[in-house]
Amino acid sequence: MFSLMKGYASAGFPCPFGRRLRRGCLLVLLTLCCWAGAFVAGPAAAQDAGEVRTVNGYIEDAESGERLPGATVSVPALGIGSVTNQYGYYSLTVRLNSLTLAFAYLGYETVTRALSLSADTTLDVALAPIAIDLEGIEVVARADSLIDQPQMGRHEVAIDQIQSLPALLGEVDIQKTLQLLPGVQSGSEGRSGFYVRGGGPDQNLILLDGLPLYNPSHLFGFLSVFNADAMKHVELIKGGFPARYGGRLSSVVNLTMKEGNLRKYGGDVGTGLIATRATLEGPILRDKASFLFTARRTLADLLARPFLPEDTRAGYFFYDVNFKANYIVSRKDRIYLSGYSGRDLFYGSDNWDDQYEEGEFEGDLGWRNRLAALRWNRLFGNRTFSNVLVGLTNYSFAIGTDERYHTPGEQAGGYDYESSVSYVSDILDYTVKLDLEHRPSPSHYLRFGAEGIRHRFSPGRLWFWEKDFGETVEDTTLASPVGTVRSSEAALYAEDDMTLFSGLRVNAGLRMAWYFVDGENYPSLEPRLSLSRRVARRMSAKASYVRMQQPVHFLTASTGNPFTDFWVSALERMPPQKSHQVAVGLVRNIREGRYEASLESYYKWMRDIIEYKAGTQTFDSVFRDWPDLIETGRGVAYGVELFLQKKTGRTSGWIGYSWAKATRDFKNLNNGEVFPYRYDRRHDVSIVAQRHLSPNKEISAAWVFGSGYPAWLPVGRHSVLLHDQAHDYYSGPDDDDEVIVVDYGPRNASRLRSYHRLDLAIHFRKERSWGTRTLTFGTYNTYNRKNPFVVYPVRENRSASTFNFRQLSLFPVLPSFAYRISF
Amino acid sequence: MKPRSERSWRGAPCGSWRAALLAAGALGMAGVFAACELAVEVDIPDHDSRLVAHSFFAPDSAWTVRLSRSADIEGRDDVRKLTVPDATVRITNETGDFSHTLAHTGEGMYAAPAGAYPTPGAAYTLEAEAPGLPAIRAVNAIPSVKAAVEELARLDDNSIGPFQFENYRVRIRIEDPPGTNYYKLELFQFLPAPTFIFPQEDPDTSSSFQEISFSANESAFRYDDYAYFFDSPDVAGGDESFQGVLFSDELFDGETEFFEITFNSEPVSRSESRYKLVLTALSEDYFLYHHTAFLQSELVNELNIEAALLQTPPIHLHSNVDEGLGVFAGYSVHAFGFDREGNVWPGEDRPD
Repeated sequence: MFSLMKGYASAGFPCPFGRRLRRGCLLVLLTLCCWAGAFVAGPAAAQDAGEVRTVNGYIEDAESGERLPGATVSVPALGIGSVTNQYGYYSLTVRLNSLTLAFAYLGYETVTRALSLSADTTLDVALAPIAIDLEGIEVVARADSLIDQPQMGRHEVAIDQIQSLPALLGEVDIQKTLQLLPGVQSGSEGRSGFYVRGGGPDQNLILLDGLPLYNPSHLFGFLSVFNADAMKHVELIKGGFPARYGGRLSSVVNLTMKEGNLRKYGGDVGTGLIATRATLEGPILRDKASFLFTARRTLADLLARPFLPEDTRAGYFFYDVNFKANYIVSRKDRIYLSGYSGRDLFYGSDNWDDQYEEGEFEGDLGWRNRLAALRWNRLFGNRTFSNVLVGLTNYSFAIGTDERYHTPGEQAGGYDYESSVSYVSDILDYTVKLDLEHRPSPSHYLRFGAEGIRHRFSPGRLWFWEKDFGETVEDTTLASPVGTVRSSEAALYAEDDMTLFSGLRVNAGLRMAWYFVDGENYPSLEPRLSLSRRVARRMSAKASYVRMQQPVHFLTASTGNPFTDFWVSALERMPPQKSHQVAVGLVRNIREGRYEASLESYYKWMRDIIEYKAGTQTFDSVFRDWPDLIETGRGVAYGVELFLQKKTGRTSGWIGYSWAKATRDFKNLNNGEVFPYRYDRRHDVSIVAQRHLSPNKEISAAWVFGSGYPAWLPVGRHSVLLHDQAHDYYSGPDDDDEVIVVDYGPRNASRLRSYHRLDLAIHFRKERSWGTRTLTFGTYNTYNRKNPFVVYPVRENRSASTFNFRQLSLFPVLPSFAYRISF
Repeated sequence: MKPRSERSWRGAPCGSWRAALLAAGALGMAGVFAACELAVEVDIPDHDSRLVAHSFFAPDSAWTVRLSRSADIEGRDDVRKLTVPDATVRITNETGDFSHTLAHTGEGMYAAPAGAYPTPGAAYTLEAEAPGLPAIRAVNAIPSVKAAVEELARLDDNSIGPFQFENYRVRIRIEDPPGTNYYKLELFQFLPAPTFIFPQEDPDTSSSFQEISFSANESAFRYDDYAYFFDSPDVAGGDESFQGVLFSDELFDGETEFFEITFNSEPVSRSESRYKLVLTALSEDYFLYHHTAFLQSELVNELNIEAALLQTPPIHLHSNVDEGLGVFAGYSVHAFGFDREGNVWPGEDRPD
């Protein structure tokens, strides 16, 4: 591809992607040439010196053989190092003949190895998990810890920590844990969707094993689909996005599923108030292939079934199934197959049979996410790692009813009627991705690759038919005139993590993306730059700039209503969203790395974001020409985030605080005046703590506080006449001649009450000969704060013209328990 | 017992299932959350009271304007009684040859002197000032539509049981003026005064008209329940039965258009073969005002919890009154009477 582009450019032919992109193509080429120079110059210089050597390998869990992403490899004497990639692979190039390497990973024993480097060396290291140490854990000063990484706005949360935190009704939820991080807003109470740095819920790229998921929620958004039992690694990036990520404006959530134990079979089963779950993992071929299978399901409908009338069937359930298998073909090749399927379903049926009529009715409403990924990791030499991913993602929502009834026998004047109604919307993505990583020299870590996605967006279609005595009398399909949209995304990226003069670390990258829809191409040249430099022994200063483009929009009048919320493609009337974000910050290690503190401030400006026009109705998006319902505009978000984390020791946790402001500016909304974003929250505090009381007892607590969200509420009221009383033809919809209406003030100008709550959990573990059992008790909203879920005006009674405001609160204090057996 | 099929999709406005979904969702959610509801005070911006004007004008109606004022949402005043008696109200036309100051006649009503009537097609301006409130101004006109019954045909009679049905086909012509206009078409059947009244019956013994349904294969027609579907061309249309229709001139702006409807008389023994077809031309402001008031009254008075939970964007009441609220809107009514003998007459009353 690159040579093809270079050929076009040098020959003076138009760039294959259009004239507008010629400059972009040249920039990509220039960048690649620079990196290619580094690629070539590095080893050449090394040969001259005769001392440049590369150490590479995998870091894995000593017990399970699982590879560990994000583990550090460092040369403590020099303060240099590297981090394993998502697949546990590291590569470190140095100018030394011998060195001592330290391999570290949170929750694992640190391993040090002294090496004599007469040649490039391959070294796989297995780290043993630390038994819970109550009196403090030795912390190895890690090179390439947070203060050295140029990356900004990045958080990793350990799965163990997620599983230990208090959870709503005992159901561990990864996304709810992410909501506890600074800069991440939770939206309405109980919802698992999130809003990052003033962005919308659609602006989060949620990747499960590298593939995007669109509506990853259960129970209308109260829980996320991610079963923590199946996950190995969770990463959130809020800013300073590396060039390898694109397609969303506000955040990247990278979830990696476990691979499965290569050495022994194991698993666990557990139950809580919401769902019951099971996990099984083990070797298919010892040290060569393994699998992981997890499943969880709500059981409420099954438990309620005996109590329902015989002819009636009704209930709700959701389930998740995660599957992953991998095969180590050789030391250089490994293949992964992973899949996810999750579904929510409300269902009901009824039968009746009497002397007048026999009939049956069935109806259901549900949505599902499905995902499948095939991945191939390959090592080229000692310095180049490649990953090829092919996968598909599908999200669908459907409602269906079937009804049939008829008069028994051959009655005169009888009837035989049948009807069916079905409503479907879905998205289907096919993804192909190639990622390459290369370490040409000690000071460069190159990543480059390509990505292609084929989208099919099919927003709502309603189909209904009727039959009378077997004859079709109605067969109609209703859909938005926009219909099904097919589009394609393509992207090339290159980035280099460089160590430059005076200890300046730079991650510079460029992403060139194209979006093709309806014969139009929406190119996007996205520079990415992150800088880090130590300004004191334990403190570094950072800065970043990113430009992003998002070619998909989320059409929503609400949040969490899958009937009316659609993901739709950018089109001519609503082009892709774009953003720029700049951020600066300070990071400091305290007490030998036991504590880490960061302070970041950001400024993000967005354009071509969408909002519904005023007066759009809940179901308009289903049938109408929805681009006509949309206004496009701009948004600005800025704020300061403070994060203090203690990662090790008997007590761990964090304190997060953010001050933020997010506004929207639409020419045709709010009289053209800037208004607060719906989830503009000025102050947000989270305090999260876990403490091991004994090796088998652990308590955890989370307290959150958020100042009130904006609301668009009426400020005035008046009475109206609906028609001219001179003519009596106007029998309006309201029989009253005079009705009371309200006057809405400026958009989102009111503020709801603040939100706060305390969640607690205590875990009791007991080791048995066959494994471990864990019993968890917890409370959600421990002091029963009545937090605002929604606020709305209510007319005091039908004859009054006065109003008051009512607030719905969702969750009072909720006790929970969960039981889990691991073997 | 009526078969369920007659209560199902066929022949019923699609709004019914949508409304049913909304209502079911609202009720379900309200039930779930009712226990957690409480009255709260909310930090809302100040509201500056404004003049609210209502004036609907037609060629045969005297000028009247009702003035009231708006109030704070959390206030305790009854806004129906916040009339404005001390305002200066004036109506003028664009050429300046029509200018009347309206006099207060009580309860916030202002009327023009006798003999002052609006003319179709002319733009009129309403201006009003009241102490302590911003002055308002609004401009509107009566759609100068011409309409006529082009053809009246009586079709074959059908007899079922003791009742006699009469079938008719009516063709009407509309000469649409330029600009956006909305129309409402309604059909009425005469109900003569009953000859005998049971003691428990309503003592109102006067004759009246009752609205009846008609059929049309006309894609422009929308059900009277236009709030949800007026702008959804794929939903309505086809061979349908209507109890009053609304339609816009989107498909025939500024042109002459013909519409054909058919109907059966109602099998009511005391009715007689006398009908009235009423075509009302509404200015765009009239329609939007009516439309948004209907939507909002549903949300504020009926489905507020559902709207809040779904976070439906609020419905703003349309107004064409600058610096104020309410509406100043023209309309015109074209009524045609006819009977089984094929007599057609303009106006509401049969000529003797």
